This record gives sequence, structure tokens and C-alpha cells, in this order.
Amino acid sequence: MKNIFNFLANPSRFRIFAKNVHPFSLIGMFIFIFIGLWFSLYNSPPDYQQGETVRIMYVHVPAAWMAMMVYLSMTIMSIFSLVWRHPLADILSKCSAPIGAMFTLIALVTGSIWGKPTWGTWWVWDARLTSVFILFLIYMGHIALVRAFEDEYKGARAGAILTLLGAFNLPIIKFSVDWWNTLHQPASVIKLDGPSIHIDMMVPLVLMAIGFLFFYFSFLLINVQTELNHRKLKKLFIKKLN
Amino acid sequence: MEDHLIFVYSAYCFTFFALFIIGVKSLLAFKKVNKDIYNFDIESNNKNI
Repeated sequence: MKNIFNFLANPSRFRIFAKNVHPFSLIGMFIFIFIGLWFSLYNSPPDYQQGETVRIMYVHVPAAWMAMMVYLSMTIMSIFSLVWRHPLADILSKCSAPIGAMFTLIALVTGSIWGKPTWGTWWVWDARLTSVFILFLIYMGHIALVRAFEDEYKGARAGAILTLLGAFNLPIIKFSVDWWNTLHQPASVIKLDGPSIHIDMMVPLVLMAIGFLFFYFSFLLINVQTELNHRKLKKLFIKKLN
Repeated sequence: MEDHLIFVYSAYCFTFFALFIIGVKSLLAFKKVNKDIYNFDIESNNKNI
């Protein structure tokens, strides 16, 4: 992984990589989300207890998975950044944060919409909901902190430290439903004794999750190129002034 | 149960609206910085002439 990182650390090489990979990523995103939507809304059964409201799961759960996965990738990037001082790791982490924050917001809002008909309330301060809300606040803090410094290096370092500190929240989110008595249901897909969800519901869930993963990858590539071009422009201005 | 469809559609509308917003924001920022670099190059070339 370190070799791939070193190879892509060169901005020109990264631009070539992004130019070649981006169309496939976009096509993958549209295909998986389109097929996922078809399965979610038309080709999956209603739940015997919840009825049609179970369909909210096909956007809520993949968004929650992505919120945690993006944060996990930011944590790995932060280690690369702090240990090897890798410039691409800083940029990847900085560009991932807004997408991760948006996925967290989607998970919170769709969860709230799902909560009203099933639990009878929009929000409850139980362990799972509160820990995901804290994840959202950490994302927002990271976005603000990285951009608060004039010196990009200092901003990236502060952001990396915040990300590593916030990483303690990830196991709390995952195991909150087991450690505490929560209104939120326990895990039914990612668990040690295998998924307990029916295959008809598993298919749209996985398709949407892959579609969201492609979405993240597509817009991460765009955001990284924007950041690289922004830094290039900054260097050109400084060169011009000198 | 049909009454609850409003919740389903609201969740889907919000999800894709949020993804659309972040996607458009990323694309606009990318276009803007490319345009700035292009304008900077033109400006520098004009001054060199």
C-alpha cells in the first residue's frame, strides 16, 4: 500500500490515474445505484412488522456504513500523514471529510425519518444515535480545523491528530447496541455468526452500499484534483510575487 | 401502512438531494480552480508578450 501511495504522491501521476479511473468509477456508481434503487423500491418484499417503511433501510444502512468506512480511511490516512508525513495522505483525508460528513448526515436524517413510524419518535438520545451524532460533530470539527490554518501542513497535522482522537468513537458506534440497552436494533448484517437478514433484503442493501462506495470514490478523485490544482495555483501566485 | 410511504419517499428524496448537493459542489469547485489556472496562464503569457 505504501508503494502505491508513493507512486501516486506525484501530482502528475495522480492526475493521470484519476483521469483513467474516474469514468469507470462514475459508470459503476450509476449502474449500482440505479439497480439498487430498482431492487429497493420495487423488487424487495415489505417487512412483516414494519411494512413499506423497511425500504428506508436501503439508504440508511449503506449511508451509516459509508460514514464509518470513510472515517476509518481517514484514520489510516492520518497515520500515514503523521508517521511518514505523506502529502497525498493529508489531501485524501481533507477531501474525504465533507463526503463522510454528508453520509453521516444522511444516516442521521433517514434514521430519524425511519424512527417516527417505527419507534414513535424522531429522536432519542440512546447510545447508537448519540455516538453517530458525535461522529458528525467530529467530521464538522475536522473540516473547520484543517481549513482554519494558513499553513496547510499545520492544518493537516491538527486534522490528523483530531481524526486519531476521534477514532475511539468507531468501536463505540459499532458495539453501542451490544454494550448498552438501546432503542436502536442490534446488528443484523455485520456480525460474527453471519447475517440474519433475508437474502431478498440483503441484495438491495449490498447494491446500494457498492453504489455509495463508488460515489465516494468518484467524488474523492474530483476533490483531490481540485485540491492539487488549488495548491498549484497558490504556488504559481507565490512564484509570480517573487 | 400506505400512510407510511411518505416517510419512505422523504428518506429517499433527502438522500439523493444530499448526494446531488455534494456532487455539484465538488464539480463546481473543480471547474472554478481549473478556470483560475487557465486565466492565470493567459494573464502570465500576456505579460510576457
